[in-house]
Amino acid sequence: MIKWIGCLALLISSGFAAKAQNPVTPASVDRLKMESLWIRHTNNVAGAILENPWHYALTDFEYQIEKGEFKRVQSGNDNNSFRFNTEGGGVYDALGGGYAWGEFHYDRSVLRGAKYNASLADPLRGMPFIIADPNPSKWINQNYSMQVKLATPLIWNQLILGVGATYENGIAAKQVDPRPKVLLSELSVNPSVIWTKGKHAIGADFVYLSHREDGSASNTNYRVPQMGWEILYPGYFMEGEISSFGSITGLRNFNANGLGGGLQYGYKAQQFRIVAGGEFRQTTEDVTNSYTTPKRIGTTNKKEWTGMAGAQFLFNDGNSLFADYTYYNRSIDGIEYIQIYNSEYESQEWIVYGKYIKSNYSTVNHNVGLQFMIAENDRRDFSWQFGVNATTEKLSDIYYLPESTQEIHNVLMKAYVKKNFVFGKRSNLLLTLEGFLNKNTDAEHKYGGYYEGNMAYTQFALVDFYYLSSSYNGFTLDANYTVTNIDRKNTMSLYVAASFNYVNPTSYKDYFDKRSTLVMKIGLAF
Amino acid sequence: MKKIFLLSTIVCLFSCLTTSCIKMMQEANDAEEVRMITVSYKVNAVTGFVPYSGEAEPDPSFQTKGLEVNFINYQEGSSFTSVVGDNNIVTCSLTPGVYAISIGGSVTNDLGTYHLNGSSLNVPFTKDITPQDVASNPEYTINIRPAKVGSILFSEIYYCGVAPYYFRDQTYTLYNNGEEVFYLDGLCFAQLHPNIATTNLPSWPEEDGRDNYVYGLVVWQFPGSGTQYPLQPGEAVVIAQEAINHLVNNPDSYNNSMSDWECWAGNALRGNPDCPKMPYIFWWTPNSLQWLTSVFGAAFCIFRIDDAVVDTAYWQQEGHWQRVVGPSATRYAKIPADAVLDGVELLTSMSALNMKRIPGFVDAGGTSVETTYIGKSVSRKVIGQRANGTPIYQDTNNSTNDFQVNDTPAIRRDGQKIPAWSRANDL
Repeated sequence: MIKWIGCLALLISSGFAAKAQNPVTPASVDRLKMESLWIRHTNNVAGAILENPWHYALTDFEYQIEKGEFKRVQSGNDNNSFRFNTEGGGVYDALGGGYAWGEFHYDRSVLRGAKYNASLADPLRGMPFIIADPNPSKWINQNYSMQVKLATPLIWNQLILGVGATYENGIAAKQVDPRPKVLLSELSVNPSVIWTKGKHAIGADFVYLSHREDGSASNTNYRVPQMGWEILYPGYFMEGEISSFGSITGLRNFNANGLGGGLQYGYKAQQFRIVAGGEFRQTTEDVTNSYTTPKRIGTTNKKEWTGMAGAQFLFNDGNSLFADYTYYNRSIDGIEYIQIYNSEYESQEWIVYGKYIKSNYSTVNHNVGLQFMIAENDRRDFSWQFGVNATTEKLSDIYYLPESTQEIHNVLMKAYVKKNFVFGKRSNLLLTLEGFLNKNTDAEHKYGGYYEGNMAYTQFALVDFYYLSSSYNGFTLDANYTVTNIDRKNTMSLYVAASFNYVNPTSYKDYFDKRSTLVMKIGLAF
Repeated sequence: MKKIFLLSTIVCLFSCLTTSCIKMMQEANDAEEVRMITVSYKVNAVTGFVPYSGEAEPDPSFQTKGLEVNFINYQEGSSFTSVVGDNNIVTCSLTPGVYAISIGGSVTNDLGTYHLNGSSLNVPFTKDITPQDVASNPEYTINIRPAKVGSILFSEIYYCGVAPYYFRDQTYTLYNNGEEVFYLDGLCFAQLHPNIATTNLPSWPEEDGRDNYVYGLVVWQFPGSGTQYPLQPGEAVVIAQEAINHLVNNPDSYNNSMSDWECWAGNALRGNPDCPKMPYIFWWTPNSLQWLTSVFGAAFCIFRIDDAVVDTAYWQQEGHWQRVVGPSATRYAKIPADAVLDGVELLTSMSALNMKRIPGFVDAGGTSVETTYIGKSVSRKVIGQRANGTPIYQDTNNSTNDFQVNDTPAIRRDGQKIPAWSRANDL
């Protein structure tokens, strides 16, 4: 299955792209993505036709080394990743002017020192109902993901139909008892439509998502009992021994379904383009602890609202100013069940007597960005980019009874500059320097639970609060050197890149040290 | 035609997916935000047979007014306390959830001093329950059984074994906590079913009513003619799975070779030939290798059925054994509630209290060393001392309160005396 998916993605991303007339470089793809407002700001695949993007393909291998303790406790503090990425596509004459784009990623990560997770491949994805254990653990995670976007050419000169699909398949294995082998798969389908008339376009899209994930935390060394927690909310849990005979059975089976959709509006004039829209998505995820006699551990009901607008001001000299704004509101209700096991011989099952929303996790973000791009008219890439970006984030979590609350306000500011040095006709160096500063403006944590002295509160819930409410600063330095026209047809480029990211916390220094990440990459563009 | 069929199939499949998806979301959207609720419950003391429906006449000799009632939510770790008021009704404000209701206290009347302990497990509270609801619905009633405050009790149990996987040193100590001599002769010592605490409790036939019996896997019986083995106040008797110096086999174990009896299962290769063997009088499927109780924690009781000759033949008689509902042919010893003198519920961990398997009149709580093979024991808390230095132990019929965890097991802890007839005197 995975091989088939990989082949399909490669076919889409590279097969057609080979017909591109001019050399493709990471800098030119960067510019292409920057200027594709519908693709960048919406989930409406049909919008790609309005952008009329030229076709490209990038294929690269990437190795990442990440060290440092300024991370959430579940993420590990000494991690390595190997990745293979390929993406590409565009509008093709061979498809009658239709749009095809695809990407495929393979990721193998090794996490070390990860704690308080014995259930999920990604413990930070907004699912609180997990089993947690205190053992610093190594995880080996392997993930395959692909995405395909297809859109028709303009039908009757005013209608475009599109469809997007993603498929992800992963395995994550904890290497220390209690050790689950977590298997996950995710599928989403995203049909869309656009009606366009003159300079105006109105779009709508719909999305269906299915996520399955399961794993059973078991022990290979039965001589050492493993204690853990069945987490309901940070600081609220049931403590016990994780084993088949223990009070915590290690299996967790996650089953999520999501539905959503959005509406978009676009306007395109000679020197001004804008795309605006709004989206809503509801994702409900059930968590059970058995395949045969499932007990409902909990349900999350996630509702996400997104509003956005992105504009491009084109100047006569080929330069552009981009402005964008995104509003994001996420609310996750944590639903717990009142249930009793019916041990009658004829009907052994868990009977649900009631269900209540016992917790809520809320995130509200506002993001404003401005970017200025200096480009030469006869080139696909750019020579300079300057950008500033500001994000305000408000996190509000509550457990209703007995009440605990957590409120965090952060402001994250970023500024970057990109310079594309062109050396003759065959090579260029893209340098990026970004600085960022996160300022925590307010943070309050009130705990009303029963386990104030328990390490699952002091070392997990509380430390997580410290991380989320930390102020920090840092920078990213990225260098990408590309040699073009390396093949006989002069369509292929080879690039090597290195990126260094450094983050320095300026608060809670007793808990966190710096974090640095180095990424090295080699790839082909065509 | 093919295209229409393909399109129809896709549309049908997509409709099914979205329909089940919408149903799942709708169920989640129906959930309400949690709020405090106020619940009332009736607490009756009953002495006779309680039918399966739970509807039994309270015994007027035992008033429950004034008894303390704990509503414990083990999943959340919360506990709410209230006191039984008029009409034997207790009212408490709590968060919705699954609760264990635990009632504790004692009463003295013309018949003597009685424990009035009881518990009801896995009670779901999802809405307000008014005293009027209680009056009209017998579902909101807990029956507790008065248990006479006895002198004989479990004072220490060492069950978890020691690493690596050494479990032959399991030891049980019975102690006379009263003021009068207690004769061990004929006393029965039972390991109760199920062997491991579980949410999947066995289902017993309706004819047995509710909490009228506990059910034994294995029943051992002290030998004696009637007055052969007196246990004076302050004296303890020690019973072992295998009474040897276990330090020879495992340096982290201990020496219990001075035990008074071995619960010997018939393995000629095991056991201490110098230690008397206690006979088992009920064991449906004996394990001739050894009598191993769960290192995760089993449940035990001691009992004496006064109006019957209890021996091997007794348990073969119809009505003295029972099977769980289902196809299993395994028989369990049917031990009447009023015959139980003491009982202890041992759990995998204290968070497994919601898996309690024996009724509250035997043990309203539970105790645990929390993990297996760690060489720890549980023993009763000392609350006083006799003039001769022997301990007086706490006995509220609730082992959650009465027991403590010890780093190592001990033979006759806290200054317990050795009976005059004990072989330990010669060792």
